Amino acid sequence: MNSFQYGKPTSLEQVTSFLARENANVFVMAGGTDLLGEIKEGLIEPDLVIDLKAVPGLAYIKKEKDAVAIGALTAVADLAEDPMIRQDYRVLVEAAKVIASPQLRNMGTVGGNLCQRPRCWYYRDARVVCSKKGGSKCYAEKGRNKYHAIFAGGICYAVYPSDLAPAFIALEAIAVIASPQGERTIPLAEFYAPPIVNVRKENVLGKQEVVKEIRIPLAKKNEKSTYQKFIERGSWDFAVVSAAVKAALSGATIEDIRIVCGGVAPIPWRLKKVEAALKGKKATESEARKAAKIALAEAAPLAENGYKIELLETMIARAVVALGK
Amino acid sequence: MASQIWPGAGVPGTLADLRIYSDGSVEVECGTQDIGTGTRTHIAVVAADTLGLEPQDISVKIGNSDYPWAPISGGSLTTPSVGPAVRDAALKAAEYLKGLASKKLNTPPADILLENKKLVLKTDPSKAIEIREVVRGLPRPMVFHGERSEHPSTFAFQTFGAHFAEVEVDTETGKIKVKKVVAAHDVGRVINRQTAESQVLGGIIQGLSAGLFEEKLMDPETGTMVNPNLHDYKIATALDIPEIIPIFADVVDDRLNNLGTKGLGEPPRIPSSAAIANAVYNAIGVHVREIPMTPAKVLAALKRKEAKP
Repeated sequence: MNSFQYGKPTSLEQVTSFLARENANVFVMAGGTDLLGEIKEGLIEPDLVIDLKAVPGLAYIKKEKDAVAIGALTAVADLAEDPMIRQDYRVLVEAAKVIASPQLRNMGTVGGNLCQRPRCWYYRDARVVCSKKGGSKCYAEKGRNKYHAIFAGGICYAVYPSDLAPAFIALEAIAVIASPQGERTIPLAEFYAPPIVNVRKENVLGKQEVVKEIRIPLAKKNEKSTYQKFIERGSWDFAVVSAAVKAALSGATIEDIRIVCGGVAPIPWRLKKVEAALKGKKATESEARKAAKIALAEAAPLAENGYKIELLETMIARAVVALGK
Repeated sequence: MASQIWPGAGVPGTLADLRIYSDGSVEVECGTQDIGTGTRTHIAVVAADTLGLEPQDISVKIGNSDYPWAPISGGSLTTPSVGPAVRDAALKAAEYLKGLASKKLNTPPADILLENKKLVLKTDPSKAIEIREVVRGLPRPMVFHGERSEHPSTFAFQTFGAHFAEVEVDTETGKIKVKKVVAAHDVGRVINRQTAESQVLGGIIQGLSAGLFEEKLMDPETGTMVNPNLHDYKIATALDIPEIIPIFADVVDDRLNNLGTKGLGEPPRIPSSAAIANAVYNAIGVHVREIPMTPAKVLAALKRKEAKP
């Protein structure tokens, strides 16, 4: 672990001015549950770590006229416990409460969860210089890959590990991003970019930018949502496969649906063809499995992760059935 | 269900010293160690039980190779090595104490019992003298050397055990949930029930974790292990642990050693993964032939079953 300077800013303007420092490796830290691991594992060597928790007023959940606004520094545990979120956004609660362990949910933040780095074991091994770290290839492609991507691999097969990202994207969330130039908004679905755009990172955040807030549209009456996460053991694990679903239902009929999956691609993976196939259908297991098979036919599994195809079909089916519960 | 058989024998020649001081305090020295199995407790229990004292009355000194020789802790041999040596020393101390008391009670030593921290006349319990009274005024601490005896030469002996597991298998995801394990073992005399049960729980939890989760994944290209951390190398969490019911036959076989006891290190670990694997077979009708029985392997086994005509 290298020694670094620690910045304790008092405002978001100060944060972005820190980020603007030239010729310096600057990182922002929220809960630190991922960043400190990256430093200790020798994956990054910051010159300066900026503690976002020092900035007042970045942790909040507010219902506004047209949206619910969630501050980036909101603890994952607080998101799971918020009465308004619990009432209107089941998918967020179900995703938040299965993240890691209680200790990590208390420390980890919404913004940090959305900006965390992949857990690929080759990426996390400082000795391995893979494509994500500037090397020439993905070691998982022909190596050990039971947890790797079945969609959109190629340059890099690391999956995006966040539970909140698929849930927020299913809810059509928008990210508010701050920089020295001011603020901009971007749909969270477009915040993530696959390896082909830039294999070194998972999102389109610029060097001087920081996620300030997530906004989700107010829930409509006939909308239901749910999160299904598959892990190998009882608790404390990243998703092998997950499915976040939001749907507008008329009785048992699906009027509209968004399906976003975790653990299957380098970014949260939306299944638009499956969504299209389910529109107008009943929210039943057999319809869901029939539709899910469309997407699964497009999967490109590696030697050890083919079982994820079956798991994904089951997670989608269970999510669709859970909508009615 | 799966069963186990394992020697659980001790090491002849293991030594222990028991010392009685003139203030009545008792100390046992033995060059063994407590790696978490309860050796310290077992020494206190054996000495106290033999001398009519409580375990907390015994001060146990271990973990130093200057102390009387004892073997390594491994192979389920610590308790059946150390226990009999301590018992031997304590029996000698008991005889010595009875000899002292016989003069004061004016009765043959054979008529005296050691109980409730006293030396008591068998035929008339009202006649008794406290142990610390008998040793008051001793000019020096009295040391008693104990040694673990040879094994019986005319017959073989083993520990025996059987585990029964109840599992639930999600055939859509391949995930196994162990609901309950019942484990029965014959390890001779149980020296201390709490540490014995704890050892069984540990063996079952280890076997469950190895059977379902723990997998060392080597990368052929870099020659390194890709999951050398507790995030990627998965071990069971508290939520994975089922109800566990340990049962002991508690059959004392006095021909083995002066305590009639056998070891309980490996025994509960031996059948613990296999019992779960057999329960999985019983549930889904196909064997998962390799541990850990991960969802990927269970799903693959279910496919093999479907493929069969």
